[in-house]
Amino acid sequence: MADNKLTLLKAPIIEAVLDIDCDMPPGKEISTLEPAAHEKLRPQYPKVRRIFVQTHQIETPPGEAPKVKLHQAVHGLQFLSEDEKQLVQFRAQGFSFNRLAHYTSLDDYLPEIERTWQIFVAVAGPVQIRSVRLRYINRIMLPMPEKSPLQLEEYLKVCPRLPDEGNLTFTGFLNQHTAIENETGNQVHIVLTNQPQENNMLPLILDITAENNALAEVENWPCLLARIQALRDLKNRVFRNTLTDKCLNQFQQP
Amino acid sequence: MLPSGLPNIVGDDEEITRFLTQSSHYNSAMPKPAAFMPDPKSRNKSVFRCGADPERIRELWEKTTNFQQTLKAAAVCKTAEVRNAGVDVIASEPPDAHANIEGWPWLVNDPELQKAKQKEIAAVIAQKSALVML
Amino acid sequence: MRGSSAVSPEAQTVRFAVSAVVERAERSQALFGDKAAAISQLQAMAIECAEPGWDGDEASAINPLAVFVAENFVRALPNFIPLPEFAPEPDGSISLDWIPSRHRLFSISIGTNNRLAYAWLDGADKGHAVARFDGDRIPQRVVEGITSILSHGYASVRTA
Repeated sequence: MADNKLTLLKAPIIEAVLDIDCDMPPGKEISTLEPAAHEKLRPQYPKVRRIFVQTHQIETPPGEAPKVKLHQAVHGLQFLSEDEKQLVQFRAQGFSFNRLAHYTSLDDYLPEIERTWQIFVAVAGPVQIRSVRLRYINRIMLPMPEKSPLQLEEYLKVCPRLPDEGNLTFTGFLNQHTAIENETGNQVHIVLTNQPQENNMLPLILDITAENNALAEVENWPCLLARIQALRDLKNRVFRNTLTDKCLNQFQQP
Repeated sequence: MLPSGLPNIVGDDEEITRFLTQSSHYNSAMPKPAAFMPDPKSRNKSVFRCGADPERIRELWEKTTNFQQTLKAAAVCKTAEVRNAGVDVIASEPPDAHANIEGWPWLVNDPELQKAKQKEIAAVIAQKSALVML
Repeated sequence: MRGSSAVSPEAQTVRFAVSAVVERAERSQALFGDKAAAISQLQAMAIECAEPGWDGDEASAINPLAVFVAENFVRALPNFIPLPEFAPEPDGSISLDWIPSRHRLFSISIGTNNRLAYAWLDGADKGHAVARFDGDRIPQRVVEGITSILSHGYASVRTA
């Protein structure tokens, strides 16, 4: 398969996120953008949620009942589709577009990404782009053999190993790698971990984030698009080279 | 002449005093810049024209405080040094001997740059201030 | 700032797994001890200044978002940089100060957004600037500014 073409009949993507971090204009509070943003986004994203940062302060004066105080500040706005499978986020740091399962292809979502990004630019007035991140969270179900331990290397080209494998058995793992692509300077963060066993299946989470940290102009959509596509290529390459053919073939079965 | 008997204009030679109620506003060496950062509501910083005498400082504190804070220390600086830093000291009574450090930079369009400029000024004043422990 | 923009339960799985590793590291005195103590100091100061008028005047309460950002800043500090002193500011921000002597200091204000205001004194030199903190990495010119002020040799601090 070519690097930029990875077509799977049943892709294991749980969530795809595009983050565009920006320098925001000084003095602008994200919470004040809600009315203008929702007016433009409401037809496709009728639901709004605020993202808060909260601190809970518990004071225990001697001889008195504990006192609890809550302090909170708005850190971002989420605009959700009716079925809550697609989100646009206006964050204090920039813009995000989230697509949850069922996910088809990035090409299917790019027009909507462009449209909602332009709304963000118009409403929030970002000064410049600082970084672009493309994150794909995959959930891969591995069948547990009945009478022997699961051999991860049958499914993963890059897999966790244990010292003294004859006497130790995995009960859980978390692998995290960060790398830079020599030719482009793009970075990739790969997290591999497991969830608790479900019936006879082991859910594996393969979380790949491809990132570009070059400055860019907010008005230049073609440049931004090219960047997104380069990150997609990197992500696809990492995905394909993390999993064995036996694993990849699972996703070609309808 | 003001009700306190002090001149209307704060002279360059006068020592002005900032009451310090937060132990985090000073260390063993000196007052910190945060002790002099202006209040965004009043756009100034409250000080007193009482110098470095601990008795005088305590006396003025007891006259003016609501006793919700404890006076821990004082930062004392020559008015000339404050003016050299780029701001001014303007008498403002009542209460007696009260003045404000005024003339801070305010940039509505860029609050962080505004803050940075103010911080530089506050750092200079802090550097020129003596710490009086009480 | 340090949070994730992903919303799925699986994103939560990753977050918890990674947080568990971070938490284990932060429980280690060797790996994190000093920073843990610094964050405790920061939190204690925030509690002390959690109500408006904490200075006996018109000071705003320390903003919880500023505390959140300041904690992330402390965590992100390279290990070769000593931990700062903290001070509350009347607008609800938190000041992080490195003061090796009366004539050399570096001071950063952390508020509610990712733009940090800072100023320095270096003998007769002084200056101020703004830098962006993404929640994970300290801006290089802030690192350079702090190390320059803390170094024993004579060095001017320049903006980028």
